Parts: sequence; C-alpha cells; structure tokens
Amino acid sequence: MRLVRVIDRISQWSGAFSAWLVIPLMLVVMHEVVRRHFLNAPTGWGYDTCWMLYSAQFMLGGAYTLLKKGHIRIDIVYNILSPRGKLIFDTLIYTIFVVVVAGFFTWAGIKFAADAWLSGERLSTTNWFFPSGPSKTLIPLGFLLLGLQGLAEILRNLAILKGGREG
Amino acid sequence: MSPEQLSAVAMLALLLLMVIGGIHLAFALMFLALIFGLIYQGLALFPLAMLKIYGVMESEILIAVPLFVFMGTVLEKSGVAEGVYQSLYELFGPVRGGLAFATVVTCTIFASCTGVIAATVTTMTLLAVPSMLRRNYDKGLATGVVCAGGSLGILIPPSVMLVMYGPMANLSVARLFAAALFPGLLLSFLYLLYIGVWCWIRPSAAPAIAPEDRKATGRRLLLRVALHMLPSFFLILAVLGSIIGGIASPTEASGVGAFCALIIAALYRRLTLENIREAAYTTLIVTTMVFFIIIGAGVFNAVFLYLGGGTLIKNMLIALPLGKWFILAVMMFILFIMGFFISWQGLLYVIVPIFLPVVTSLGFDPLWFALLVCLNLQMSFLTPPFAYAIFFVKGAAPQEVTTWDIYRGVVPFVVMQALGLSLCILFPEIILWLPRVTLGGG
Repeated sequence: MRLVRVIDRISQWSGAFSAWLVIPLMLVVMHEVVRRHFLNAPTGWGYDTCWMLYSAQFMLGGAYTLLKKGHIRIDIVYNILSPRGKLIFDTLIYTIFVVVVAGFFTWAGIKFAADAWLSGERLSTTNWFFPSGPSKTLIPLGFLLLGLQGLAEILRNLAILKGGREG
Repeated sequence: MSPEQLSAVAMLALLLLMVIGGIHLAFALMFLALIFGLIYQGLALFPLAMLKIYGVMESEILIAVPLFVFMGTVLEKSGVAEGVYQSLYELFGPVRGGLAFATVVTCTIFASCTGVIAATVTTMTLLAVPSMLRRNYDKGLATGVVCAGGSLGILIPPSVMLVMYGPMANLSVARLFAAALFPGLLLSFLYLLYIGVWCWIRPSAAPAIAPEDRKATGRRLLLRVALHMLPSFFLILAVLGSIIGGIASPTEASGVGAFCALIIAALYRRLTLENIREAAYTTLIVTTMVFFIIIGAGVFNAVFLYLGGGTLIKNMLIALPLGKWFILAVMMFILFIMGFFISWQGLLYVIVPIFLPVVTSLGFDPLWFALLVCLNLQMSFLTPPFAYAIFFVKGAAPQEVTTWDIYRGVVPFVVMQALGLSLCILFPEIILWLPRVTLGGG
C-alpha cells in the first residue's frame, strides 16, 4: 500500500500548489487593472500570464479533486448498492473511465507538448510571443496526475475488497 | 439516417444512461468522445481534442470563473451574510412572514455579490432555518424560501453560469450580466409576493416575532441595517456596476471583486490564514469539477458534430409542426427534463450548443434565449425530486425537517419561477432593456 500513499501524497501536493494559484492569479489581474485603467499602460504579458495561471489551476487540480471525490455524479443508483457493490462499481469506473481515458489523453498530450517544445513554437494572443511548450505541457501533466490518482483509488478499493485494511 | 448520425444519437443516449447510472459526467463525456472518435476519426481525434482543451485554457473570459468562485467562498466565510440577515431580521421581524422576507432580501443581496449557489444555500440554511423554526414557522415555508432564495445566486449577476454561457455562445458576458439583472430581481419580487399573500391567507404559517426580540428600534435599527448593507453595496457597485456600466471586463471585475471580498473579510475580522486556505481549496475543487466538464463536453461535442449529430437534431427540431413558439417550448422542455439528470454545466456545454443554430435560424434573439435557458436551468435547482438546492438544504437543516417538508415548501416557488419565465417570454424587454441602455447596440 506504499504506492497508494505515495500517489495520495503527490495529489495532495499538486492540489495545494494549484489551490494557492488563485492568489497570484488575483494579484496579476489586479495589477493589470491598475496598469490599464489608472496608469494607462497595460502590460504585454499580463493577460497571457493570467490564463496560464488559471489553466494550471484546473489542469493540475484534477487529481486532487478525484481524491476528494469532487467530480460531480448522480448517486441515485449508486446509493442502492451495498458497500461491497459500491467498491466494485467504483473500481470499474476508475479503471474504464479514469485510467484508460487519462492514459490516452496523457499520451496525446505528450505528443502535443513535445511538438511545441521541439519546434520552439511561440504563440501570441496580444503582443507578447510566449513559448507555448510550458502551457501545453500542463495537459499531459494534468492527465498523468489524474490517471495516477485513479490507479491509487483502484488499488485502495481492491485492498479493501480483499479484506485488507485501508491503505 | 446515416450510420454516423445513428452513432451520434447513440452517443447522447449512452451519455444519459451512464450519468443516470452514476458515472461522473466529466469522465463519461471524455470516454464517449474517445470511443466514438477513435472509431470514426482514428488517431486524428487526438490533435483535435488537444486543440479543444488548449482553447479552453486560453480563454480570457473563463478566467473569471475561479475568481468569482473564490470571491463567493471568501464572502461566505467573512460573515457578511450573518450581519445582513441579523439586521433585517429585526427590521422585518415584527411583520407576519418577516423572517421569510428577510431571507429573500438577504439572498438577493448575497446573490448580487456571488456567482455560485452551494455556499449561499448552505449559509442561509444554517442561518435562517433554525431562526424561523424557533418562531414556529411552517417547516415547508422555512426551507422552501431558503432553497428558492439561495438559488438566485446562479442567476443574478455576477453569475458563473452567465460567465460560462458567454464564450460558449459567442455572447458578451457583460451584456448577459445586464440582461440577467431584471429577471433575477423579478424572481426575487415574485417570491416576496408569494410569501406576503400566503402569510395573509394563513397567519399561522409565519407568525411575527415578539417585540422584546428586537435589540434596537427606530433610528438605531435603521443605522444598523445600513451599516451591515454597506460592504455588500460597495462590492455590488465595484463589480456589477463596473461591468454593466461598461467600464471593466468581467475578468477584471472578478479579480477586483475577489480582492474586495478579502478586504470585507478583514473588516469583519475573519481574514485568517485558515479561512483563506479553506476558500482556496473549495475554489479549486469547484473550479476543477466545472472545467473537467467543459473540457469533456468540448471534446464530446467536437465528435458529435463531426458525426453530423448537430445537423440531425437541428433538422428534427425545425421539422416540428405548429411554428417556432412550439419549437421553443420543446427545447425548453428538453432542457427542463434533462436538468434532472445532467448538471447545469453539462447541459450548458453539451445540449445548448446543439440548440443554438436552431435558435438563430428561427430568428430568436440569442441574448433573450440565453436568459430563458438560464431561468430554466435555475428551475432545475428547485424542482423535486432531484434538485441541488434541496439536497444542500436537507444536508444543513435541523434533523426535524424531512425531505417531504422541503418538497412541499419548494413547489410554490417553482410555480413562481415558471411564472417569471413566462413573463420573460411574453415581455422580452424585461431581459433586453438594460443591456441596450447601458451597453448600447441591438
């Protein structure tokens, strides 16, 4: 069960990191507001920094949200199941819907980000040409973390089903 | 129907089945997109999916979602709602149904400061329901009014629902905010009207509080009310005022609003590291949950449209008899029914995009339609048996309140919502007047 504990720890770290991102996000938006409306000198990087912070927040937060069971679902049918039935049902969902999906999207994301890094791609939404590699890397990283946490949930459920203690 | 279109229909049917079965909406969307995408598009699906996700990440407008959620959770922890409710409680208390009035007014003010419902409903349940039950209010009325009032947060701007609607439908969020203000206030007014009439017919449902329960009277009481309202009005002016007035973009206003919320929390001496930490974590979970649905729906829709599902549904709807008002009614009905099973974020990003071309080709105003959709989705928060507001209230209310009490109490408010929706359909100016005046254009 050490693996489960390690993965849980990783998700908690990534969760803490992305949760606190809301503070710099707020400050950069404020900074941009002051520059634009009061000093009449908007920065070139403010807007792009904002979306990078905000997208890092939810991409990296997926695993923590899974750990805290924060992804929305309807539990009418689920609640009818016995405790054992719930564990089996969850294990199936995590296997098919989380690990498989996250696996494919991680792989696709790696290709997507690698292309950007290797070609040294630079994009622009306003007038700042930013390298797109770092922000594109958030996609495979986010899905990798999500898939790992899915794996941890599966291992935990299997351990309980086998009669072991919760990891 | 071509095999592709048949598959598109299967995608929708399977989605509904999976979600009712208890699979997380975000993952069901991604899974179906993956399977059907791989079958029909092969590996070309992946670059397309990545671009869809990157498009959501690059959105300037959606940046406002986490900031508005953060603003709401910080305000919830600041205790500003307690202050407003306590002062209104003493102001309206001596009138029959006074506490229910105070609840609706507090909710309306709070709704104009925040954009999510969970926080408002829970706070108000803890605050208002016990105080109403202690005064022998009818349990149904006490809980129904909290469900209805608390759900106003998602409609009255600033609202996360409207922020999300904007980029999806290519509408300006500022215009959506301006358009939503009067429909929201109309609902609030209809709730007050219902409470007034009901308490007049059945005085025992909501007795007045005893005079000795009022700590202050006269001018001192009014001063207290004003003092507690001040921070909220300041925030409403800074955030809503600057957006509807066309001075700041919603994203800018959300950043400023979050900062103002921290200042208000500091004024109420609740700005502790623990409170900020809790607000940041709550924000993370709410935001991530929403964005995984947006991402999933984006990829799902890309595959669905590729298979020709959009055209199919458009043609089916347009082929309906009885003219365009009947088609509108059918679309509203579908949203209302699906609202039982699919959360509003999913409806907004899966079903509404399919309807939009129909709306355009029928010649309806897209801004007007947007508000009808939001009013409709707001009804799904209240309509038994599966309604978020009811679950939140049940979770936070005293033990003696049964689910049946809440069902019974909430029905009149659903009727009021239906009335409000009908009024907005009959008199489009309720929606369209304010954005035209403040932001100009058609």
